Amino acid sequence: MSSRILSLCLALAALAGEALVATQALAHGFGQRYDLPIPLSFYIFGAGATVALSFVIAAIFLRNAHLPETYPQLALLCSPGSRRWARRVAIAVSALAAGHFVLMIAAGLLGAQTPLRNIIVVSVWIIGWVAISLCSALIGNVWSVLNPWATFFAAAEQVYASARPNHSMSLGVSYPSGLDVWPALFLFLVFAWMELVWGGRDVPARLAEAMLFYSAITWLGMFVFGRKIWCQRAELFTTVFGIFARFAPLTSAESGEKGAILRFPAVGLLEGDHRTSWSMMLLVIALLATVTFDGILETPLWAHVDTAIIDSPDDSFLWTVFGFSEAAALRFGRTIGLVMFVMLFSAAYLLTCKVMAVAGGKRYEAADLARRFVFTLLPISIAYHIAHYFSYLFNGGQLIIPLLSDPFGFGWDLLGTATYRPRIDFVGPLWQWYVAVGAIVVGHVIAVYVAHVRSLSVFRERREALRSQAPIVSLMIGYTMLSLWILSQPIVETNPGG
Amino acid sequence: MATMPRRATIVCAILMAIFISSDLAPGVVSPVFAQSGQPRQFAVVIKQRKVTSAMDVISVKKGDTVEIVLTADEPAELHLHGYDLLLTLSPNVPGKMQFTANIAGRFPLEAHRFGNPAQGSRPHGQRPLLYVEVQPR
Repeated sequence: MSSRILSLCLALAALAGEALVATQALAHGFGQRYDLPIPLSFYIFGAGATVALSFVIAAIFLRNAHLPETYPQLALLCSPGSRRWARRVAIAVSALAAGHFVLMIAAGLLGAQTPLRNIIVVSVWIIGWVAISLCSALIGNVWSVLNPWATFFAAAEQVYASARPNHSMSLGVSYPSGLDVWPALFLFLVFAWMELVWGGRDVPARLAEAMLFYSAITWLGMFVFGRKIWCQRAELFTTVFGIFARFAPLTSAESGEKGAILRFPAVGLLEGDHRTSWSMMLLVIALLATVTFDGILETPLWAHVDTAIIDSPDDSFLWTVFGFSEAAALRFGRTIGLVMFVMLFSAAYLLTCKVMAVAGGKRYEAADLARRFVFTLLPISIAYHIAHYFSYLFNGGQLIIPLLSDPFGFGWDLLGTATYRPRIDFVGPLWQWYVAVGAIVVGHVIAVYVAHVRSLSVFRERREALRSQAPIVSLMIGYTMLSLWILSQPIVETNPGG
Repeated sequence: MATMPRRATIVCAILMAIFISSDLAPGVVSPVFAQSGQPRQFAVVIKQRKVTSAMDVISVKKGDTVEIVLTADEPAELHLHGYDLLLTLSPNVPGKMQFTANIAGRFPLEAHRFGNPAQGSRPHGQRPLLYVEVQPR
């Protein structure tokens, strides 16, 4: 096992070194945030409220509160006419998203290679990652409509079907059940590495090439195994946004009469198959870990790590064995950090489940509990995601306005918005602080509640269920405190440059 | 056990009170100081591509007039991000960055270049020289 991890690290390090050759120093780095750290009073309030409210929820459950059997739902799009209308809108949005996808790749390959003058960089990181993941969590599974890979493949299938009726375009090889979502987990780790470490992340041409490479994998997979199964198991964005969307208030109805359902946020986490697969469990943990690691990289703590790497002596293995440049060494440090962080999160979670199994009367194996409780941590992760990206989404996201008029950076002005200058104080510090700490506290409360409800359905005896809560709620408090701590840290730019 | 929710509510209320008193009160008081109209002045000396003083954060309040006088021991091109102010320095000649801090946030002051324009290079992997923090009122 350890040798496999080591070889993975080395492979990633080699990639890091290679990516480096192509990049250049940029005066204006992409993704700059001007957020002030949350003040001490917000930090203390957030921490205090987190602990206090955890006890309040525990007390409510201890006092024999009745669990609702079902949660209120509101059926939407109930008439056939409204469903037809919604389908038309969805098709139009799919087509727009597919068009935007082509525009991104064309701009990346042919356009100006300055990150802020080429639409691809903003489209991938701010719209594609931040905005869609937040919309998935707070609205519903928007990716099922936006997914350009699925749209193009479905269109090709339609064309094929009209040419050769009764024949399926894909080979229809049955997807190996043992493979489960392991491909999505692997691809997600690569994606997270690209987001956090890769030197090509703000170089338009590199991004476009990466997208083309991923398109080839995706379409090949869809061709071999079929579009739906590949999306569910291997297309990393469908799986990851799907995880976020379990939390969302909107969901599509399974059957006939209703088109969509409006529900309370997070009740989706309590539904369905209670025991996820190992690969899904690890994918959720990896998601939580990388979202947090993103924040860690901007703290003074990581700045110390960077300094230590740069200041390491001349005979260090970094320079002698690997022959790294300074920037490559920094990337190497981040790569190791990312892998370690995912492993640390997994270990902390599995250990907690071990303690839970003991506290809950040993009727359940720790491994079994780990697969039943992993989604209860999701609200904390979503809360941190909001806290971390709220101001960035609205301040940095405005960059798309001038870019839509001049996507290639050629000096066009298609929509008359090319000269728009983003207002970097659109969301000011006060708003950002209140939203950040508010989201963190609310997310924590939801997580603790969901964990309690889940425990009452997993454990047979009420007392066992309640006893099992101490370990996981402790873990949740620790996780929430880590989020708050990161927010209280001043952002230090640690981008390794070129 | 029955008292637990009540106790937790009290704890919450106390925390809320601390929060409100510690945070909103200064916001009410500080505009009085702002009316003095004195520019906030800071002197920064750069030696061997680093800021000499221990101060790596300049903290001001929104609305303040800020003057940062910078001196470097070699030619340098400095950039205050966010406010997008550029300053080109000659060796050992002080230069001034002056602005009204009308946007709150944390802004890096970076050297885009050290040395002569011809052979000068952007320092790789280096962090900003310092940060300007503009606190909201």
